[in-house]
Parts: sequence; structure tokens; C-alpha cells
Amino acid sequence: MKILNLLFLFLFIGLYACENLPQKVARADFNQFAHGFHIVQMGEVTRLEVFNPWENARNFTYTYYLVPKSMDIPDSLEGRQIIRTPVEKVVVLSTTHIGFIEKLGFESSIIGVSGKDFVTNPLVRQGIEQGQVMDVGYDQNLNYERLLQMKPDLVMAYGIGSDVAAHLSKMKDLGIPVVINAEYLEETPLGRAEWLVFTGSFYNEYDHAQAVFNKVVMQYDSLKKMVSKTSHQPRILTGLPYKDNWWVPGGKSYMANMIADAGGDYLWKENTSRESFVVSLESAIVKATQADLWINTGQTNSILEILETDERFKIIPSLQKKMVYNDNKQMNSTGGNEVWETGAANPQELLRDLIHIFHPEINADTAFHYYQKLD
Amino acid sequence: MVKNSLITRDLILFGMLGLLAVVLFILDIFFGSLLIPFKTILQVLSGTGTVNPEIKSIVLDFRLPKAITAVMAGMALSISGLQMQTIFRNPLAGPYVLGISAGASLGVAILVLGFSSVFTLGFFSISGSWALVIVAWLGSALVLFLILAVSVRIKDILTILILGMLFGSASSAIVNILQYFSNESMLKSFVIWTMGSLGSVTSSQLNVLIPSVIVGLVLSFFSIKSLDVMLLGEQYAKSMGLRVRNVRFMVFTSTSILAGSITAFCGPIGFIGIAVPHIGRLLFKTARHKILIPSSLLLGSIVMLLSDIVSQMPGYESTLPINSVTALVGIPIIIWIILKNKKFSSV
Repeated sequence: MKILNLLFLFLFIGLYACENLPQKVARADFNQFAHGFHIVQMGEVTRLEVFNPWENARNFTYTYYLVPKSMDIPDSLEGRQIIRTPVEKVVVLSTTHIGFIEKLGFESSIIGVSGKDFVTNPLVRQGIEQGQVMDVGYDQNLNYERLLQMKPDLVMAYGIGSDVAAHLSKMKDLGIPVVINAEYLEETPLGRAEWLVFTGSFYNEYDHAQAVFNKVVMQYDSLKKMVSKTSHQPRILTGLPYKDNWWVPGGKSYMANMIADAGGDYLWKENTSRESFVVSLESAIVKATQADLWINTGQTNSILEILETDERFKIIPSLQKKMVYNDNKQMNSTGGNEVWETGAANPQELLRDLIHIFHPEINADTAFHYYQKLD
Repeated sequence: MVKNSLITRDLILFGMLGLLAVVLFILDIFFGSLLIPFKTILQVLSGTGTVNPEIKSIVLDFRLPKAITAVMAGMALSISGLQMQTIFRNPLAGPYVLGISAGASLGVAILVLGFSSVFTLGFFSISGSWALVIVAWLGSALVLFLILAVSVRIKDILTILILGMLFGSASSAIVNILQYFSNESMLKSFVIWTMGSLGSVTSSQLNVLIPSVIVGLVLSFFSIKSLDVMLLGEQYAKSMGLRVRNVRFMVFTSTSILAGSITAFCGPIGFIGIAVPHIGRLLFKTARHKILIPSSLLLGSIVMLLSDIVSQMPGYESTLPINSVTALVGIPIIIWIILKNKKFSSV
């Protein structure tokens, strides 16, 4: 046992010794809101760390080294995961990544997507139609051969569960430069949007990304201030059940925080979970009868369609009063919804829509971006 | 004298089971996430007194249809299982032995996994509750048609059993391919369907479900005598002048209507169909269908209501999938009966 401990100690020291990189830390800013990544600037090389990048991951860190194409890779970085920057050919495995890249103005770098039907960005769609942007498949059907052929500078992946680790290491073994983006795990809308800075660093545009993000923060905060003085908070019901199961966002989730920031009173705000959880149809209905407003009703486009899923929803007062809003105003013809793509990078737009719904007296003249009122 | 005392014993048993079913039916309506006083529930059910309209809707639109669905599912699956065990003379046969649930799964898989991205718009909306029911029915009807077509040509009942399993396996293979090529949210919708659900059946769906179950049950009542003869073997049944193929046709149709309807509305609910007929045989110590059919009706309702009460987890915000509960509630019952019964334990 002792020998084993000693062995680990030596191993640890050995690993530590390998860290003799240019130690001049020029920038190690702590993020304002995001908890999932950390950027350390070491001379010209940037060290990027991503923490616990899937649900229920514990003590897990991925470390990437961003080395400018203009310089040689330092010997000390041998065996590390290296991304040469600025990246010019990028494959994204989530449409949300497109939103972040688009917000920074680099969407022409996208050469591959996962699930082309769900893409709504006009430039990327045009690329898909003209064959410049390829679909690389998804999950277990990822087309590794095509990925290799495309020779991307960067593949941006995401993971719902630990199984993504296997995909990541396979891509790494194949020599495909892959990083994991865990923006969706952030609890706060601004925390998610801060991944703009993470995205920007691959384009060697840290300062530009920071500026874009700061503007988002400013807009978001000034909108939030507008509702801080309102005394009335409408009670908000979210989601649509599937059969007996009604999945609702946790009380500490991104959506719950967004609703609170927009001056709404989320029905499950007492819940302490970050992740969505399931409640029975009956207990959801009991809660639903207290709601003033009902938002995010799945794929439905009208009150009639909601009633088609279950005619018994007619007892929900917000439905009777037609106070139902869904975030599917911007759908493409193949089932893609713009909110999935650009919503995370533009929380100020989502917040503006929600304030418009919750407090129509404020901001009455603005038009909806993502939401529509169901009739 | 002996015969009379046996009849009395059967009658007392039937009376007790009937009472138990009624008590469980009321308890099933009583238990839920929201605690509603017993008096209020009685007021709602009897239509007396003034009750908050929301409470009234919870009882009448949610809990009552669910309890009725539980009774329907319990009766239909138990009778299907009993008929299949008799026809195939195999104690492990169940309502799904002909591949009915596999056919229904195939229909649902094609809708949920295959075409959902294409058919999200238009009347056939994926979220529409009737869409699932219709495709599940079409799927099981397709399997029924194949089985019937085969059964009028083939003499040997074992061949039909094997063909039923093969049809089922072929459906499952296609379902697997569809699952492999679908994304997470589609997969989740499908998996939730396979876990079964009693609570999503609405009153207007009951208007279709109840008559279908009644038709299936009436068909099974007509075959009581023939089923008794079939127990002695097909050769013997033929020598007794029984038209074996007609019996098969009737029983297969009845089973498909019963199991197919329940699967269409509630998803594939396992275990009940295989286990309940055995409980009936052991309680009443008989193989006669005159006794076994009514006892399976009652016992099926009882086990299903009990499972639904357990799945509610009274006091909790969420429920358990009914399919897991039917297994977890039923298997201990069956093990207990098998171990207690000398005939089984000494084998």
C-alpha cells in the first residue's frame, strides 16, 4: 500500500515537473459568470481548461493548449492536446456552437455540422446546399472517415453523459483536434453566454470576444433592471408533458434563473436542482392551475395542438385565457428552431421576449424574436 | 355434497375477489400526488355537494379514467394470456406471444423515431395522442393479419408459435435499427412509451378502449367450451368434432383485439398476462375456463389496480413507470404461490 502511495507521489511530481512551460502568466482572468472553463495566457500559448463537461461529472478536467500557427509547438507540450490558432476550418457538433461562432462573426469558418436539418443560420445553410458544409452525423453515428477527410482545425463537441469521453479519445487518437464545449451546463444565462470568450480564443480573438460578451452583459443587466421595480410577478408554468411525465426545469436551472430575471415567478422555484426533473401529470396539473402564464409548450403552434396532445389541459386557466407563449417563432422547414442555435449566445434577446410576455406594460412596442403567442 | 361445497367455496372466493377489486378501485382514485379527503372524493363521484372545480377535474378527468384503464388493462391482458396458454398448451405463453406488442412497437417506432422529423407539421402531429394509438393498432393488426393468414394454412400449432416469435423478432430488429439512427429526444419519447402508461388515457379515448375490450371479452366468452376441449390436445379436440381452426381464428382475433388495444393506449405492459391466469388456477384449483375466465378478469383488475397504486408512490411528486411496477408487484406474488403450492414445488 505504502509503495503504491509512493509511486503515485513520484508520478505526481513527475507530472508536475513536466509543467515547465513559459510560466509568464499574462492573463488569468477569472470568469464573471461561467464556472465551466478557465483561460490562462502563457506568453503566446493559451491554456484552456474545461471542467466537469457533462451532467454529474466530478473532478474531471480537460486541458487544451492553443498554439498560434505562426510559431512552432514547444517541445514541452509534446503529448498534450494542441489546437493551432486561429482556427479556419471548424466542425461543430451542436447547433448551439453555431450561435456562439455567429455572434463573433466567424460563421464562414464552419465546414461541418451535426444534423444539418436543424441548422437555421442562413450562411451555414447556404454552405450545406452548395456542398461546402458537410453533415458529419451524430452521437454513435459520427462519420469519422469524413471527419478525417475534412482535416478540420477544430471539432467542437459536447456531451450529455460520460460516453462522450470515448468519442473524444477516439477523435484524439485519430489526430482530430477536438475540444469539448460544456456551455449548456451553466446555471445562469450570462454564464452560458460567457462561453463566447471560450469560443473566441480559438480564433485568437480573446479581446473581441470579451467585448462582445461585455455588451451582452450590459444589455442583459439593463433589461433586468427594468423589471426589478415591478411589484407584480406572474406565475409561470413551463413545458409540455409526454404521456404521464412532465419534465420541468430545476429550480436552480438556466431557465428558472432566466424566468426570475425577467420578473416571473417560476412554479417550481423551490426545487434545488440544476437539471430538469420529472413530475407526475397530476401534480403538474395541480400546480398548473395556479399559473398566470404558460411558456415553452414543446413543438406546438396553437392552443388546439396543445389540446390534441391531451384534451384535459382545457382545465388549465392560462390556456383558457390564451396566455400561452412558445419559443418556436423561428422554425426552419426541417424542424430546426433558431432558439436552440442562437438563444444561448444571446440571452438578452430571450430576456427581452420574456419581459415582453411577463410585463407587457414595459417595452410594449418591441416585437418578439423567439417567442410567439399561441391562439 | 362434495360438489356443492366446492361450488360454495368458488362463490365465496369470487365474492371476496370482487369486493377486493372494488376496494382497490376506490383506493386507486383516492391515492395521488395531491391529497384529497376521502369525503370530497365521494362527493365528486356521487355528484353531491359543492367541490372546487379543479379538484373535481383531478378526480373525474385524471384519476377515474386511470383507474378504469387499469381495470381494462388488467382484464384484457389476463384473458389474452389465459387464451394463449390454453391454445399453445404452454404455461409461459402470454398476450404477446403472437408478436402483438412487437408489431405495436414497430408502428410507434416508425412514427416516433422514423418519421417524426418529417411529420411534425400537419394533422399527424407527433405529439397528438391519437397518432400513437393509431400506429400502434396498425402495427399489431399487421401482425394479427400475418398470423391469421398463416394459421388457416398451417396445421401444427407449434409452427404458429415459432412464426409469431419470428415476426416479433423481425419487428424488434427494425425497431433496433430505427433506435440506432435516432437522436436522444426521439429515443427518450420511444423509451417512455415502452415503459407503459395508464394515466395518459383520456375519457374520449376510453370511449374507444372500453368497447374494444368488451368485444374481445365477448369473443373469449364464446370460446369457453372449446378452450376446455383444446386443453386435451388438438387431435383429441378434432375427434370430439371441434373445428380447431375456427377456434384458433376466434381466439387469435380476441387476443389481438384485447392485447392490441391495451398496447395501443397504454404501451406494452408486461407480466400481468402471463402471471394472472396462474394465480387463478392455483386459487380455484381448476382448469375449467368457465371459472378461469371470470377469475382472470377479477384477478387481473386487482393486480393492475394494486400496481397503479404502488406506482403513484402516494405523497411524492413523481410516479414510477407502470411496467416496472407490474413486474415488481407481481413476481413476489407468483413466487409465493409457487413455493406454497405442493404441486409446483415438488416437481
